[in-house]
Amino acid sequence: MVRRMNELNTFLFNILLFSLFFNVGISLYGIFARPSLIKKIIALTIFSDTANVLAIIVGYRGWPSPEQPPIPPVITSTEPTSEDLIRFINRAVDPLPQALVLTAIVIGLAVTLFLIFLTLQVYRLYGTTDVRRVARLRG
Amino acid sequence: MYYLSIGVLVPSLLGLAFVLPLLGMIIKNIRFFHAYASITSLYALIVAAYNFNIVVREGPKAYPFGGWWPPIGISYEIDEINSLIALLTASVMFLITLYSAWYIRSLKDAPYYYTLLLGLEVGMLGCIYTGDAFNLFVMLEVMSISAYALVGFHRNKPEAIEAAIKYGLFGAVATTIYFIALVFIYASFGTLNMADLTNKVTLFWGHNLVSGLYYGQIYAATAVALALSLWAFTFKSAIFPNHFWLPDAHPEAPTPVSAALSGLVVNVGVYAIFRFFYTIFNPFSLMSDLRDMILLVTLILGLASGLIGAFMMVVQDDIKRLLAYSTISHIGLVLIGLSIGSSLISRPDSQAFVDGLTGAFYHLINHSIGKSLLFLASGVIIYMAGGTRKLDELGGVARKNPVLGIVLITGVLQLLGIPPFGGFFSKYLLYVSYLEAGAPYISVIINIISAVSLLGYVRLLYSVFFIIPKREFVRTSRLPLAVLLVLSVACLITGLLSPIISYWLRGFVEATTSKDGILNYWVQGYLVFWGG
Amino acid sequence: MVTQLNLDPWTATLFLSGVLAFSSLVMYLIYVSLSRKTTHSSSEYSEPYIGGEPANIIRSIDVPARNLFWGIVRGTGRKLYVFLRDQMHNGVLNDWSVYMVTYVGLLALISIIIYFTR
Repeated sequence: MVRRMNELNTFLFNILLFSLFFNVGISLYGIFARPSLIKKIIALTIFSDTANVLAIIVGYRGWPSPEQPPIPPVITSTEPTSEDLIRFINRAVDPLPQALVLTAIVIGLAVTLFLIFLTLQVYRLYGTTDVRRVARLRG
Repeated sequence: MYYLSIGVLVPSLLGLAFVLPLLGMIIKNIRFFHAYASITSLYALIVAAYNFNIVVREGPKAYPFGGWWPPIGISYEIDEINSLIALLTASVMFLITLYSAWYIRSLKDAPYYYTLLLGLEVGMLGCIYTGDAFNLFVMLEVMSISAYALVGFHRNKPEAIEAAIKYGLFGAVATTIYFIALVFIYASFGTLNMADLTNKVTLFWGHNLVSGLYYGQIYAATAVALALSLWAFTFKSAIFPNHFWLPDAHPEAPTPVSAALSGLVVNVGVYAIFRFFYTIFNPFSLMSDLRDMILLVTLILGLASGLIGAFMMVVQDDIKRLLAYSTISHIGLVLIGLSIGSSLISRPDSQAFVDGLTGAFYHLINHSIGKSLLFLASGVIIYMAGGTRKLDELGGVARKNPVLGIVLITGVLQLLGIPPFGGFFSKYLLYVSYLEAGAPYISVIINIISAVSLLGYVRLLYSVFFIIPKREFVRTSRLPLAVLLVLSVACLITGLLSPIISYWLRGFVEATTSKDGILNYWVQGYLVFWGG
Repeated sequence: MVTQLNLDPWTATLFLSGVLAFSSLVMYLIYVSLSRKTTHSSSEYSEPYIGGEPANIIRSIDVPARNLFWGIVRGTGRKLYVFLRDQMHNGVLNDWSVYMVTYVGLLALISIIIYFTR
C-alpha cells in the first residue's frame, strides 16, 4: 500500500513537472509569436506564474510517507521542545522559495501594470496593438 | 567588523529617490529638484568612492543585511572590480544628473523624472554591489523598470512608446528567464549567496552545515541554469541576437537617459557575466567545461555583435541611432575580451588571460566615458539645430561653438581608438591578448570592427563639424558645456595615464580572478562570519 | 651604429604622439614665420575661377552625409545591407524573436551536447 502510494506520488510529481515545462513552452510561443500585444502580456503573466510555481515545487519536500505529509514551515508552539524541532526539520517544506516567489510576484505585478499602460498608450497613438503594424522604428 | 557604507548606499539612495514624488506635491519650485537630485547623486559618488577606497586598502569586504549572516540573509560584497565599476557608474551618473538640470529645465514632471533617474542609479549600484544571486534579480528589475519608464518618458510621442514596449516586453521575459535559472541553481545547490555558491562549485571546503551540499543532478541543472542566465545577461547588455531593442530604446529616451543607458546600463549585463563565469563558475571549478563552452559562445556572439553594430552604424541617418549602434559594437568588443578566460583559448594564469580581462574592463571604462560624452554632446547639438536628429540637417553645428567641436572630436577619437586617448590602449590590449593566446584571426577581426566603425564616426564628424554652416543656430548655455568638458578631460586622462591605469587594472584583475582571489571572495563573503 | 630603445608600447606610443605633436608645432611655427605678411591683391586673386556659375551657387552644394559612403556600400555590401537593414532590423517584434529563440535553442542544444558527451 505504502509502495503504491509512493509510486502514485512520484507519477503525479512527474506529471506536474512535465506540465510546467510544457507551460513554459506554450507561454514562450505566446510571447514570441502572437501578434497582439495584449496576448503577449497574457502569455507573459502565464510565463511568470509558471516560473513561480516551479520555484514553489523546488521547496516541496518529498513526501516522507503517506502517514506523515509535509507541514507548513511554521513552529506552532512558543517554547518548542526538541521533539517539535526534530519533527519540524524532518517534515517542514522549504520556506525560502516562497519568500522568493513573493518578491517575484510583487515585481511581476509592477512590470505587468506598466506594460499594460504602455499597450494602452500604443493603442491610443497607433490605433492598433498588432506588433506588425507598430513598427515605425526600423533600420 | 563590517563597514556600514557598503550596505547603506543602495537602501538610502532608494529612499531618497522615492520620497521625490511626495515632495513634488508640496514643493512647486523646479530648482529645488535640480539641487536635490544633484546633491543625492553627489552623495552616491562620495560613498562609492569611499567603498572603493576600502577595497583598495583592505581587499574584499561584505555587509550582511539585518544581521543575518551570508548564506541565510542577503549580503552585499564588494571586491576590486565591482567597486571600480560602481565608482565609474556613480561618477558618470553625477555628471548626467547635472546635465539633466539643463535638459529638463522647462519640464513639469521633474520630480518623476528624477525619481526614475535615481531609481536607475539605485538599480545599477545594487546589481553591481550585490553578493546574492536573487538580489541581483531584484535589482535588475529595479533598474529595468526605471529604464523602461525613462525610455517611454515622453508618453505622447509614438516612437518613444513603441521603443518602451519593445524593450519592456522582452526585458520582462529576460528577467523571468533569469528567475527560472535561479530556481535551477537553488534546487541543485541549496543556496543563492554568491560566496557560498563559489565554495560549493569549487569545493574549497566540503563541509557546509548551513545550506547542505548538493541536491540531485547538479551537472545538468547547472548547464541549464548557465544557459538561461547567459540569455538574460546578453539581453541586458545587448549582445548580438538580443540587441534589437537597443537601437530603438536608446535614441528615443531623453538625451541624458540615453547617455546613462548606453554608457552604464549595458555594463551591468557585462559585469553579471563576469561575476557568473569568473567568480562563481570560475576556471578552477568542478564544472569548468560548461563554462569553457559558454565562454566560447560569448566569444562568437561578441564578434558577431561587434561586426553587426559597426556595419549598421555606417548607414544610419539619425545621430542618436548611430551612437546606439556604436554601443552594440563596443559592448561586443568588451565581451570578446571577457571571453578569453575559456580554457580552450588561454590558461587561467597566463599573460593572455590577464591582458584580455584588463583590456575588457579598460575598454568598458573608456566606452562609458566616451559614449556618455557623445550622447550628452548630441543633446546639445540637437538643441542648437532646433530639435532635428537627422545628420543631414545638422549642417556644421559644432563650428558655431568651438567648445562643442573640441568635445565632440575628443569623444569620437576616444571611441575610435586614436593614440592619445584611452580607447586606443584598451583596443590594443584586447588585440595583444588574442595574439598572445594564439588566436590572431580574432585580433584581425577586432581591427576590422574598428575599421568599419571608422566610416560611421567620420560621417558623424562630417555632418556636425566639417560642413560649413549656412543657417542660424540656437545658442546654448554654459552648464552642459561644462559637463562635456569634464568628460572630455576624463577621456584625455584615461589615455595619458594609461600605463598607470592598466597597471592598476591588471592588479585588480589578478586579485579578483586568481585562485587566491576567488578563495578570498568566499572567505570574506562567508567564512569570516562563521568564525573562520 | 644602431641604438636600441627599450620602450614598452604605451610609452612608445605616448612618446611618438608627443614627438609628432611637437614637430608639427615646429613646422607650423616655421610656416607662420616664413609666410608672407603682406599679399598683393587683385580681383582675380580674391575670386578664383571655379566654374561658369557665381560663387554663391557653387557654395550651396554639398554632399548629404548619407550619400558619403552609400557609394561604397552599394558597390560592395548591398546584399549584406539588404539583409541587415530590411530583413533583420525591420522593427517587427515577432521577427526579432525568431533570432532570440534560435539563440535560446542554440544554448540549450550546447548544454545538452555537453551533458551527454562529457
